[in-house]
Amino acid sequence: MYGWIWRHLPGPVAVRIALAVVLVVGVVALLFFVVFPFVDPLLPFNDVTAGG
Amino acid sequence: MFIPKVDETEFIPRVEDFGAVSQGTTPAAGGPVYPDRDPDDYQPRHGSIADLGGAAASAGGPGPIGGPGPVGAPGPVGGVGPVNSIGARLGAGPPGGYQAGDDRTEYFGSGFDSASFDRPEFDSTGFTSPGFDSPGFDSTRFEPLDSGTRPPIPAPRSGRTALHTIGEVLITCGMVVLLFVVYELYITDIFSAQKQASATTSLDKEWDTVTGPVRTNHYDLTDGHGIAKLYIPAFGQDYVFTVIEGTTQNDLAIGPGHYPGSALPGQPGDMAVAGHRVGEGAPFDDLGLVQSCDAILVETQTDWYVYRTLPMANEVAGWTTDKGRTTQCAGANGEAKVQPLGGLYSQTVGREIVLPTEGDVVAPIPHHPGAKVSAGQEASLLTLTTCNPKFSAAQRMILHAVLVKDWKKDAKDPNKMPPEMKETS
Repeated sequence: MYGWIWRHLPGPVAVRIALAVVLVVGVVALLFFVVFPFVDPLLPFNDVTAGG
Repeated sequence: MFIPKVDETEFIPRVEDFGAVSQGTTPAAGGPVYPDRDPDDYQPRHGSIADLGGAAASAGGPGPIGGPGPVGAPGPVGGVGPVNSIGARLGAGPPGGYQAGDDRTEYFGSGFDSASFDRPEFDSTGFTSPGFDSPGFDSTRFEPLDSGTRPPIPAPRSGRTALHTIGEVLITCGMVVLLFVVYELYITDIFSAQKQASATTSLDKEWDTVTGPVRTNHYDLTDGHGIAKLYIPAFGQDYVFTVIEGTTQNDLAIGPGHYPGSALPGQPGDMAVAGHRVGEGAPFDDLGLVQSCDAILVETQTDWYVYRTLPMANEVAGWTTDKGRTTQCAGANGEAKVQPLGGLYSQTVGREIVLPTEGDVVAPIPHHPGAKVSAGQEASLLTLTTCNPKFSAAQRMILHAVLVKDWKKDAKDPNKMPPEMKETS
């Protein structure tokens, strides 16, 4: 998977590293700002009210 | 000298291999040794090759162990190799030799099967050092030094690629889970801090807007709106959270949430507030460290309401003699700053651990929903709820406090703090 991505990144090694960093940051941002806020309320350890 | 080449993994003894021994110990020299038996059937009687060798040695027969017999000569695998053992076995007949028709099962055993040399427990690698003939040796990886060329690296087989990809996906999933933990513990704090700051700013603005000469408490009970500020001096004077109206996930992401419909600050009844213990600012992270008598202050536009944590269940009995007399609890006149509650409130103690379904703990009279007391007898309670144990939703930790003091804010100096704020322990 990662090997496939690496092979399909264009340019010399320096450009590939930069692109890879951008990809990783993008994925992490997607997780932090979209996926995790969506999943968070579905998990139990945020239940703090009694009788709810 | 005849040294049979043995591949232990496919060892099938043949009678020709032991011909010299057979002829030396059988009366019918030169003839077939055991005409009534298929030579391929020769098998050890015991469970392992080592047993076989030991049995042969202990038989004491005229076997070639240590003797000049060709088969008994050291084989390629050392002293207990299968060839050696078989040779001893063959040479160890009764003094008179076997006759056709003799019962030799006591010797060869029954049910011989040459396949038993391939039994799983037979570890051929233990008998030989890895060499060019060993099964694990991949000769394709080695080229003669003088060949001058190396074979091209073979393309990964599709099965290996699939395994590789599965491994990468699993590692990625693990990273995502770790990231989620980081998100829960740290990132949500950052988000919540921003929301909390914004809610505090808007509440401060509201309080600064004096609508008339007489300041009275006015609460905007819109969901998600700040209504009061909560202080626990025992956690330090900087412990302050703006309490938000509502207990939905969105409300609690801003700050501690006031149960809708529960009492408002200072009012008779039970002001119930829920808060996160992990992540999202974790306002109630240390709720388990609050002790009886600790002050919990609620600031509104016009008042400072001082609540004090009630005696714990195990402290109620000896309150006036033990905990109630400590410097932490004893007031100026020697009386404890807070007294255990009686009557319908006797079950309302400092801290409770309850099941999530027990909503009665936030009732106006905890544990007695619907019960009424006469107007002057109703206590003004503050109840804080959070999850318990940490990281779990299995239980709820409930903290009960009772109103002991109401400081009116000085209109000229609204930022003056009550003396209870100095009770940092």
